[in-house]
Amino acid sequence: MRKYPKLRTLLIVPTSFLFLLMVGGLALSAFFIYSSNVRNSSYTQMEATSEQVLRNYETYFDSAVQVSDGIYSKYATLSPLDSGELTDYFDTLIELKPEILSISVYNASNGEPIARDSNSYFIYDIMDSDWFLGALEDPYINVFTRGFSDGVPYSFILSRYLVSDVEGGIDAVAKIDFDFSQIVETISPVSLGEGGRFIIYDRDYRTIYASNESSLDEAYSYIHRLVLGSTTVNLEGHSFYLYCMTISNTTWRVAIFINVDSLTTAISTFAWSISLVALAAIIIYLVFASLLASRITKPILLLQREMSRVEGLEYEAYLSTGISGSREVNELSRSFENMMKRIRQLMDDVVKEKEEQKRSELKALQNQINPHFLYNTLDSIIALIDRGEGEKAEKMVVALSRFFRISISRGHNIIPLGDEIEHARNYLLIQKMRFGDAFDFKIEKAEGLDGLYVVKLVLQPVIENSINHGMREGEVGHISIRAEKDEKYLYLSIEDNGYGMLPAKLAELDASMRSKETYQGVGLKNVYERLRVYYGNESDVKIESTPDVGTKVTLIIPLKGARENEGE
Amino acid sequence: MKANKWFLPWILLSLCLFACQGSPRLRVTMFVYDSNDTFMASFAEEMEGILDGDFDFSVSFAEREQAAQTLAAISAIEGGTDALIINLVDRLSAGAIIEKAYREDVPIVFANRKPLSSDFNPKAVDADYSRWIDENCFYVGSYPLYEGRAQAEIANAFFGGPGKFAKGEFDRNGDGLVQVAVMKGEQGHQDAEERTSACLSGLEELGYSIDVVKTAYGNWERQSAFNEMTSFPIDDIELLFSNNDDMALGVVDYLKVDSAGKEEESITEAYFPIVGVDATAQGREAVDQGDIIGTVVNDAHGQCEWISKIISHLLKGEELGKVPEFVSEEGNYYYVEGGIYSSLV
Repeated sequence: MRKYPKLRTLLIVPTSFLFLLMVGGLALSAFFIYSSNVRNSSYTQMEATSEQVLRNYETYFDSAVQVSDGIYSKYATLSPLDSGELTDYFDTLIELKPEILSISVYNASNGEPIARDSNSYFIYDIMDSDWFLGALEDPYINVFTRGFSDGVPYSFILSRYLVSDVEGGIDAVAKIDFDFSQIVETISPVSLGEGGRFIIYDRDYRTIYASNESSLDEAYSYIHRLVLGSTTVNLEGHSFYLYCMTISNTTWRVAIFINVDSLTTAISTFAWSISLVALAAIIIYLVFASLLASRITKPILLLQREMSRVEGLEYEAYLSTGISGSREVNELSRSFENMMKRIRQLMDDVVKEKEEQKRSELKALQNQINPHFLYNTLDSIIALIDRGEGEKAEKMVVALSRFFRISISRGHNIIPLGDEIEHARNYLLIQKMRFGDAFDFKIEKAEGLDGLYVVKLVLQPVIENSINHGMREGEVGHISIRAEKDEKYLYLSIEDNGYGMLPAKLAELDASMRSKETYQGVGLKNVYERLRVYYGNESDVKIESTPDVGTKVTLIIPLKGARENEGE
Repeated sequence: MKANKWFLPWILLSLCLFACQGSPRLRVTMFVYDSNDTFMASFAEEMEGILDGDFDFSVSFAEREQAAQTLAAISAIEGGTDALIINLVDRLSAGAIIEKAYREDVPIVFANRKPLSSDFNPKAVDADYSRWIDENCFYVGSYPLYEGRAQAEIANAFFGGPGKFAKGEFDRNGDGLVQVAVMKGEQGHQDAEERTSACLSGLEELGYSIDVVKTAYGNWERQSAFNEMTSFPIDDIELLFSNNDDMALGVVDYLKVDSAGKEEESITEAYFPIVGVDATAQGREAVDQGDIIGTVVNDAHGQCEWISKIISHLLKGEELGKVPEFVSEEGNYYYVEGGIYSSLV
C-alpha cells in the first residue's frame, strides 16, 4: 500500500524547494548583474587608464619623430661637407632633450660615418644592424629598434633614411639613441596598483622597456597569448587587467598590467554577503514555514485524535476548546461538533423510541391477564345465580365491576397504590367466593403510603399464584398482603401458608423469572418484567419459601419511581 | 493520438531552428581610418556596393585613432567575422593585427595603407605563420609611382614641354628651372612619399630642371593644407603638386582668399598650376572649373573590384585568376593604376 506523505511535509518541502529556487535565482542573478556591472565599469576605467598610458607614450614618440623630422629637413639642405654644422645642430638637440644619448649619421650605401654629436663616438660595421636595415627597407618611416647603450638599462634607437636634395649630396641614415629610463621620468605617472607594470616590446617580443622585471617570462606568456586587446590574468598572486596595444608611429607594442585585486575582492565580498543573506532568508523561511505548518496541522491533529475516540465508540468526544487554526480548520471542527451533537440527539431519540416500544409491550403484557379470569368469574356468577344465591352473585358482580374498573383505569398504566390494593382485595374477594372460602386473607397497609403510585396489576398475578399453588388440600389457607416502605423502597409482599418450595425449585423459579427468554403465561415473570420496564434495575421481585410453611413474594419498588405518576 | 500533442511545438521548434540558422552569409568587416577623407569615404561606399550582395558587409570608421581601430578590429576578429578589409590609421600597426588575425584564422586585405614588407615576411617566426600570411594577407592600393608620373605628365602638357617652358610665361622668374612646391599627404605614408618622389623625378625625366622650394604635410586634409599654405612662398612657386585632391582644394581655397581683389580670371593664371590625385567628385569639379589643371584617377572602383576578387578567393575558394592589365603585382601587394582626369591630356 502506498505510503502517503504527512501534511506537514507536503506543506514544507515543495514550498521550501520553490523558495530555495527563487532565492537562489535571485542571489545568482544579483551576483552576475553586480559583477558584470562592476567589471564593465572598472574595465572601462582600466581601458581609459591604459589608453592614457598609451597616449602618453605615443605623444612622446611623436616628439621623437619630430626630432627625426628636424634632422631630415636639416640634412636635405646641407652639403655633405658641412658636418660641423650638423654636429652643432645635434648638440643643440641633445641639450634640449637630455634623454637623447647620441645622434650620428652614416652613409646609406656603405655605412661610412658622416657626422655625430660632439660627445659620442661613431660605430662601425653597421650594415647588418636592425636599425640600419630597417631604415633602408622603408625610407619613408621612422624606425624604432632596441638599443644597447652602455650604462643605460633601457634605451632605443630611432633611425631614419635621410635624403639629400643638394648637389653631390649622398643619402644617409640617421641614428638617434634615447635613454628610456629618462623618458619614463618625464612622462606623467599613472597608478597601476601593486605589482602593476607596463612593458614596451618590439614585434618579436623583445623588451624595449619594462617598468618591473620580475616574472617577466610569465608576463610575456600572457602577452603572447593575447597579442592585442584586453583580458584578466593572474601574476605573482595578483589579478591584473592586461591591455596590449600597438604604439602609433612605431612597430612596437605596449602591455599594461593594472592590479584589479580590489575588483576581485569586491566581487568575492559581494558573493559572500549575498550568499549569507540568501542563507539567512532561507533559514528564516524554514522557521516560518514550520511554524505555519504547525499552526495548520496541530488543530487537524487534535481533530483527528477526537475522531479516533469516536471510532473507539466514545461518543462524548467534544472539541470546542483548544482548537484554533485557520478558518477552514475551525469550520471543520465546528462541523465535527455539530455532527457529534446530532449523533447524541439521534441516540436520545433511539432511547425514547425504545421506551415507547417497551411501554406498548407493557400494555400487551397487562392485557394478557384478563380473559380466563373473566370467564371463570362469569361462570361462577352464573352458577351462583343458578343456585339462587342472588346476594352472593350480586356481591361478586360488584367486586368484579370494581376489579375491572381498576384494571382499566381509563387506560393509565400507573395507578395510586390504594387502587392497586383495592384491586387486589376485589380479586381476593372474587376468588374467595369462587373457591368457597377455601382461604381467608388479610391486607395490611402501613402508614404514610398515600400519594404513592405503582404499575397497576402487579399484585393480582402473584396472588393468583398463591391461590393456585399455595393452598393445601383440606386446610384453610391464609393469604396476607402487606404494603410498607423504608427510606428507599416500597415493599409489597404477598405471603401464603401453602406447601412452599424446596430450595432447588425456588432457584429454578427465580432463574426463569429473571431470564431474558420470553415465554408467556407465567405471572411472576410478567410482573418482574413490568417492574423492570418501569422502575429499572433498582426494582426487584424477591421470593422466599420454606417447604410446608409457605411462600412470600416481595415486590420491591424504588420510592423515587413510586412517587411519579405516569406522564408527569 | 498522444503524438499530436507534441506535433505543433515540434513544427514550431524546427521552423525556428531553420529560420535561426538561415543561410549563413559570410561576414566581411571593413575599417576605414577617417570618415572625413573624401576619397576613402567613397572608396568604402564603392566596396559596399560590390560586396554587400554576397556578404554580410559592415564598415567602421576610426577617426584617425589607431587604438580605436585596433580594438574594433579585435572585437570583429574575436566576434567571428570571416574577413577584414583594413585601411589602417597607422600602417606600422599592421604586424600586430596580422598576428592577432592569425590566432583566429581571419584573412585580411589591407587597403590604401601598405603594411611594411617585414610585416608580410616576418623573419623571426615559425614557418606556419609565414605560410598563413602568404595565403591570407594582401594589400591592394593605388600605384603611387604611376600617379606621380602622371602628375608630371599633366604638368608637362600644361607647360607644353621643357623647351617651351624655359622661354615662356610660366617660368615666372625666367631662371629656366621649375620652382616646385609639394603638398604631401602624411609623414610615413608610402603613397605620399612615393607620389612625391615620382612626380619630381617624372618631371626631371621629361627634361625639366627643378627646384623644390617647399614641401609640407597637409595630412590629406583640405583644412590642414589651407593652414599649411601660410608658410608657402607663394610668389616663388611655379608649379604645385598635391598628393591628393582634398589638399589641392585646400590650396585653391587659400589662394581664392588671397586673390580677393586681383584681376586675373583663374587661380592658375593668377598664381601657378596645381595638380591633384584621386579624381574625387570635388576634384573633377575643380578641374572642370579650371581651379586645378588636372588630377590623377585613383581608381577606387578598380581597387574595390580587385579586393572583392581576393575576398571571394579567400572565403569562397574562387580562383583569383589572371591579374588585369591595370593591376601591378608584387608578392601579395597589388597596385592598381588609374588614369588622368584633365582637359590637357
